[in-house]
Amino acid sequence: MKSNFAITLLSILLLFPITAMSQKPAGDFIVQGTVTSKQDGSAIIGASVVEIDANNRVVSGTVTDLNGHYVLKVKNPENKISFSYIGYIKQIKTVGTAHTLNVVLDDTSQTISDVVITASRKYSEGGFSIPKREIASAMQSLDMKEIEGLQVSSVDDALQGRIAGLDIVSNSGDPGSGTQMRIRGASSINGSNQPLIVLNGVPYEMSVDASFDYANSNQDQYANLLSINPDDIQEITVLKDAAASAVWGSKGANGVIQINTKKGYTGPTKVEYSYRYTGTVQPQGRKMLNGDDYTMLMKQEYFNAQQNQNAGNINEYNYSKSFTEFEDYNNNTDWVEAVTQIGHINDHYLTLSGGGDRATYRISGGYKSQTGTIIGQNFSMLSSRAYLEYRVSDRLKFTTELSYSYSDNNRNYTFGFTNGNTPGRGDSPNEDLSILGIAYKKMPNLSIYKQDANGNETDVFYNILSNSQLDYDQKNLVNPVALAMQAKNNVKNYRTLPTFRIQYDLLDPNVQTLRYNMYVSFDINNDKSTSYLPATVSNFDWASNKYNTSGGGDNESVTIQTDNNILWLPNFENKDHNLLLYASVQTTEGRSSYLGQYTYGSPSVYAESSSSPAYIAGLYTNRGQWRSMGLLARAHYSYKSRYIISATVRRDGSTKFGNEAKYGNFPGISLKWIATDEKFMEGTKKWLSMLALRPGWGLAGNQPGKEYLYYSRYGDFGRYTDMNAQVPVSLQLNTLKWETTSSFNYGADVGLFDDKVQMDLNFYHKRTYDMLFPDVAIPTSSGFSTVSNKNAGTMDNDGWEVNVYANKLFQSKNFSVDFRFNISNSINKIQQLNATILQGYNSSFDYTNGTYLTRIQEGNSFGSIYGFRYKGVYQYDKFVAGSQDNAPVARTEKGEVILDDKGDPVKMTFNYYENKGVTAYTFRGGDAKYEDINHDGNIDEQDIVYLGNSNPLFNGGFGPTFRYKDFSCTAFFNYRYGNKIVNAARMYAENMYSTDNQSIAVNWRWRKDGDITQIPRALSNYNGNGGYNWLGSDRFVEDGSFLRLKYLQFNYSVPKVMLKKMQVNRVSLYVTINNLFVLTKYTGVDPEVGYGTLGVSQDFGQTPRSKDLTFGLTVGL
Amino acid sequence: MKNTKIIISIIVLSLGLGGCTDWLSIRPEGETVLDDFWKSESQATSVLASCYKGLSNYDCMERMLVWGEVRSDNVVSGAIIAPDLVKVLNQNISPTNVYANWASFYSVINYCNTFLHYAPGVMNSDQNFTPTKLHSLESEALAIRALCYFYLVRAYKEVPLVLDPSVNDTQNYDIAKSTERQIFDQIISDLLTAQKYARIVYTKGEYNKGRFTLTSINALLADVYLWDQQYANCVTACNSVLSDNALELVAGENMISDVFYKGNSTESIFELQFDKKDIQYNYLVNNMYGLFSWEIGSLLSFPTYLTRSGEYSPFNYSASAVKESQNDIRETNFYGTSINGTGYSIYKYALSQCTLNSDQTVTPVYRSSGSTTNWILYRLSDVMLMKAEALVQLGNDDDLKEALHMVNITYRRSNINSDSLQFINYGDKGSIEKLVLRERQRELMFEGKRWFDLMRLVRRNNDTSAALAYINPKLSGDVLGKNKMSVLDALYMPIAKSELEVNPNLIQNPFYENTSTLSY
Repeated sequence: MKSNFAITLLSILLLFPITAMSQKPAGDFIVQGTVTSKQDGSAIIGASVVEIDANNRVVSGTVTDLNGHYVLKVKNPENKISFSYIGYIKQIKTVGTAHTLNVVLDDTSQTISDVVITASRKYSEGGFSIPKREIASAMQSLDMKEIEGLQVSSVDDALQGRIAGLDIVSNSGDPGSGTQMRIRGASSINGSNQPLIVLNGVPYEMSVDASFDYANSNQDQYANLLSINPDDIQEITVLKDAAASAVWGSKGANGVIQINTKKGYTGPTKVEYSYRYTGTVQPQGRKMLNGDDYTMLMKQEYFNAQQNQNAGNINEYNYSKSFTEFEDYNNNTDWVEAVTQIGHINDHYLTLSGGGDRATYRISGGYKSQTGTIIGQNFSMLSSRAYLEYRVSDRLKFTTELSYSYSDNNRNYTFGFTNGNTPGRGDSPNEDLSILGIAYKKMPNLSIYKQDANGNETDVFYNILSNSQLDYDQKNLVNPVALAMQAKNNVKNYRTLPTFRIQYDLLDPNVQTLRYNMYVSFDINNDKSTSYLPATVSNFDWASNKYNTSGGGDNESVTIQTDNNILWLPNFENKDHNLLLYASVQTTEGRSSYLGQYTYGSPSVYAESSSSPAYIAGLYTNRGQWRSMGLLARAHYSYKSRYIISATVRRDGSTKFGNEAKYGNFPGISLKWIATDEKFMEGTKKWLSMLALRPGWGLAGNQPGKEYLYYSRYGDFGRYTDMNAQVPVSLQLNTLKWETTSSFNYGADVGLFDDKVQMDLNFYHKRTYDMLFPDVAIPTSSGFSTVSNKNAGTMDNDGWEVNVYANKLFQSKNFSVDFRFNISNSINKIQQLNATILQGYNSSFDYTNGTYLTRIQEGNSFGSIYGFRYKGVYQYDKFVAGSQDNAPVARTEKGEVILDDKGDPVKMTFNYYENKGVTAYTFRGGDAKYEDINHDGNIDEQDIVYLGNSNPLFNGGFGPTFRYKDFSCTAFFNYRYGNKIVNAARMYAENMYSTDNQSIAVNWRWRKDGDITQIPRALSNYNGNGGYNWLGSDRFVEDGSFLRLKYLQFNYSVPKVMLKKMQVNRVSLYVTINNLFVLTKYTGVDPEVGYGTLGVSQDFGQTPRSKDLTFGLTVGL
Repeated sequence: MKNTKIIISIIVLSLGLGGCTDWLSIRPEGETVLDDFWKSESQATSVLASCYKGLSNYDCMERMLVWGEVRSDNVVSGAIIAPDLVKVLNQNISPTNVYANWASFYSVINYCNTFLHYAPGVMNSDQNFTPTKLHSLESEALAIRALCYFYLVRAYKEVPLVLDPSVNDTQNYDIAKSTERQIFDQIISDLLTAQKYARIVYTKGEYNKGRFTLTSINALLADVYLWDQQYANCVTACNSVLSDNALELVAGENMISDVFYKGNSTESIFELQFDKKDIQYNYLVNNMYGLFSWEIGSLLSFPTYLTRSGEYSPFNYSASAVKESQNDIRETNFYGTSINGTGYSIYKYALSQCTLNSDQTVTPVYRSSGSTTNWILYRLSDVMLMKAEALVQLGNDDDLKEALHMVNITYRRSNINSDSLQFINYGDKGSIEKLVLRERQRELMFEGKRWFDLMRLVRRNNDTSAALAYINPKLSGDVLGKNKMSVLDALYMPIAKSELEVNPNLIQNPFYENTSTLSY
């Protein structure tokens, strides 16, 4: 353990000077005297009298008594004595040989005069801090003051639309669900494109399970990522280019978000309390059919598929009183309304901060409770954070940070039908079976509660009987209201993050800075999940493995991070030179373990725990471990604070590679020239207050998402009879290496009119090579179907960003306006890829409805969508030239109808060749019409074309702030432009293929020859006769551009005069409206859709972002 | 200067940490890495167990059934059915069909190859692992590998022959196909080696049916010889099986519960084991044949052959004045009532028993919950009828009489009150050949055998018409299906498209080479 050795050694180095000092010979003697006030001459009671050494370290101390008298035993006559009392100016006296020291303290309130402070703002990153103006890389900061008072559920929500080049998409509107972030486009197709979060200089990493699938994670997984209360945040900085992120090496390959929390300060204790109430409402979703329209549609669907009048003769659709369940099937239930509600959020937060000379502190705690907009969801969180800083002397400082959070999230039970054992709904992994998803599918003529013979509702939830004649997909669809109210899916999270820091100056900081810094940080995370599905929500019989199922799981992980670093600022005779040197060793080590069980068949619906007697259907355990280390060297040099060069080299070690590729080297360099400081620019100073150019280059790395890849591993394979089985589960990867992204950034900082308008511009070119491909297909004759990772191919991201901030653009005595604006663009292109890998990786067309080809193709963007071109609906069944032209017949390129040997028009078919023609599906009137690209009278994979991609052309945000006296108003808009979304939710709501409820759009469906419409005929998939009316086509690919009024906020601070009367420091009130409106052509509920498989945005109808109204109050004492 | 020295020494020290390679090598805690494996007998046995476990995995068993049964005249589509399965039923199989994927068999083959490669090394570190123990385990691994290749060669005709374990990403996995002959030679030589070291009997009862013994290896060998048209060798192998005194036919009326529900019966030779205690469900039976509360599986028995008469009907054929199988227990116990006139539900494996009513009808009693039934690969009556089939091909009078004798053994246990079939009614080779085929159908329906029976017929004749006659009624009206069935190459499976895409050395099977041609 060499690193432990290093830590010990450095600790010894650190301790040595202290012990040396304390060993100085001491001649104890007594000093005494009184402390009085200068203003009235009275004795000061309780003033502190402290002996301090040359480094301001406290040696001994006492306080004055009732008479203002003190007695202090002094250890060393060379030391000084400090006299202080709150509200008075501190005095320091040398001891010398005097045994009596009487001191007169001066009241501070009498002595304040105007002070002009000339300090430049510093940008600090761990121990490395440089003046803001000297920053040479691409980064952007957000001061939390700007967004104070917003109802932001988390930091990522606050960042949305504010940082040029950072594209944030929220996963869904469910409480606690996370967001997807991308800085400057996707640089990797493997694993996460999520940026690294750094909290107070410590990487804030989720311990991720080895099997975690980044690309397909859609909800909850990132929920805990940013469980930091926004009230605690001081500033957020986003590092965008590799020159900046190289500091974090491979961890920072996707960009870095640095968050600094508020700290304590020297002064009297301040207490601040804030309260927010938010009401949230779901936006109006898709309008669905009522019971009457639905049953009519069903009858038509069945008839069309079977051409049989009795096909739809099903009791549940017949409204026949002779049917025993008649009352339960004659309704018009709005299931969506039944499962939605107004959500409430109550958020309390209390902060105490203050401190004296030596110690400062900030302690905060909060409680938040939330009910979702879907019934059955509620979330509560208790969080606290403490920051304590203690200066032992001017050279030695200890800091501890401690944060603790506990959250209790009652989520909806997510119902999976994927077990092949239960006949029922399809195994489509994408099918949305959330409460809302089910509500959109559930037949509307059904009642929520069982009804008696007179049609009166009872209090028992109604489940479709298991012997019902309905199709299985509808029959086995559970009652969503019952599911929300009776099933449980709870996750409790406990997270503790203590950090301990020591800072020690090896030399006197007034002479030269040589500073050692270290921290040890722990992240202890526990998740306890329990779920229960009582039999009362479904029609499964007692023998089914879905009967009274319960599950439980405990996941715990501990991550320990250490950093030892040293900073040196050499002194130069010539003050024009400025140099910072920095070196650091970082280690991360963590472990996680998971234990879960799943049972079914519990005899009682009340026995919820998975420990109650039942069949144990599964026991799962999982253990993980990870380690990494980084060595970092940085240098920053400036000449006249005008010519600047910054360089970083990081060497990262990872456990994920074999010995050949264990380490990756990631350098970064950036230059900056502040042109406005040059003499020849004097002339333009009037309007051009700042012009700086900063080119930069850097490398970043990425590692695979899984551990143990360079081993051939043997794992559990269950049992055969009573023999335990173990199998080789992986191929040993001998050739795997780092994925590397090289990026160039060309940036400029511009300030106009004395920095009234500030701008930063960036152009970048990123190239990722040796791209890591996960799960690459290999011939299965090897016994394996995939190799877990392979390096192949290159991908480019090019783009630019503009960020403008106009501070006090207009200003009068009481009125001012600020304005901020940002826009960014990123173009992604796959440059080169190995053909075999490409073939194995890309899916081929499966000839079924509803699937879009997810492919990676050279020359196209990652996230591209491929499918057919939709051309409407065939108006007529039979082709008659002149009168019935719009009929399913083959046509040449010129549009002429192709005739067969007999002179009849050749019918349009689907996938003719595979079926050798005979049983191929022939299109008929009312069917969807797809463009026959190659004019062969046949729709098949050769007619699939590129339909766009899911990457936005531009995205960003803008908004003004108006201030009038103590009143302010802020509006903020965010937008995305030019991205394509597959509206799968609409596809399923308009396909008229199953017995799911459909949107009212299907009322415009084609019903008879001659109908002109965009909606094809109803055709149920009975016995595979469902036709091809909803092939993946541009019919469901929509433009996801939007402009959202993200929030509108009115803020009022009670004026100081009134505060004095109330004896408080600060009272402010605000009202915020979130998501007031969205301007979009997108027909789904919410155009903000995350990235799914291979970067394609598919909208499966997740809970839309709600519209919120927040009232807030902050009181400071 | 002094400070500079301190700084430099710290930097040098930090860089020295770059040698921390050991600290960055972590091993999985839930799994064992190759270096630490193959050290003990229990590890070797656990890999062998995986070979069996792999065979009993859903994907693998599903293919045994789909390749061996679904294309035959025995079954039609039932309730919820996967589109790809419908296509197999309709003889409309494309390279994208999921059942063209052979991966599950090659996983098992890789387990066997891994075992055969590494197991001898265990003797170096485990004193208790004697050469005798090693050889008997090797015998099982060789038999399992032979069984896998036998399935593959029957389904695809030509496949890649892989005999080395796959360990790392630097090996060449782009293996081309071997010829049918090469594969058969490998199978037979493996089985002959296995025969040498095979165990006669295990100490645990279930092992005797669930793992390869000398008897089950002989049964497999007989099947291989029969396919490879080495009839004399087949008879010899069958005789070895029949000489095993532990084997005994179960009474006809008890078959449905003893053989197919309880499992490991006295007539069973080799069956894949499932076990309720460990919740090892046989989902294949649940899904394909149904269970309590879900009585219609994906497959139903084909109605036409059951109801019409003639030599293509198993239960309605008269060779003379006497109707064959007049009161055959198998007719009432192996399948059930008509479902919507499209088919008859399948009882075999799905029931726990059949209760005989006073009016000679039966009431089926379904399993109460998820099926844990074993899946039979070889049983005594199968071997008897294999022997009969081989004897018919040998062809002299004594052979034919002996063949009829074999048929009579299985026939009479299910036709308790009827006379045995008389040689006088089936005097020539052709009639007996058809009788054996019918009896095999009656006896082994829904056990994954029928398609292979028909394929042997095709291979013997080098012509599809005789076999097509059996399947034609099922394809009534489907000209495409019939035409396709007349092409011998079309009776083998296509190689999966996904496989061809990643393996440049692999060539598609004939008939499927060009899926874009309109005519053939």
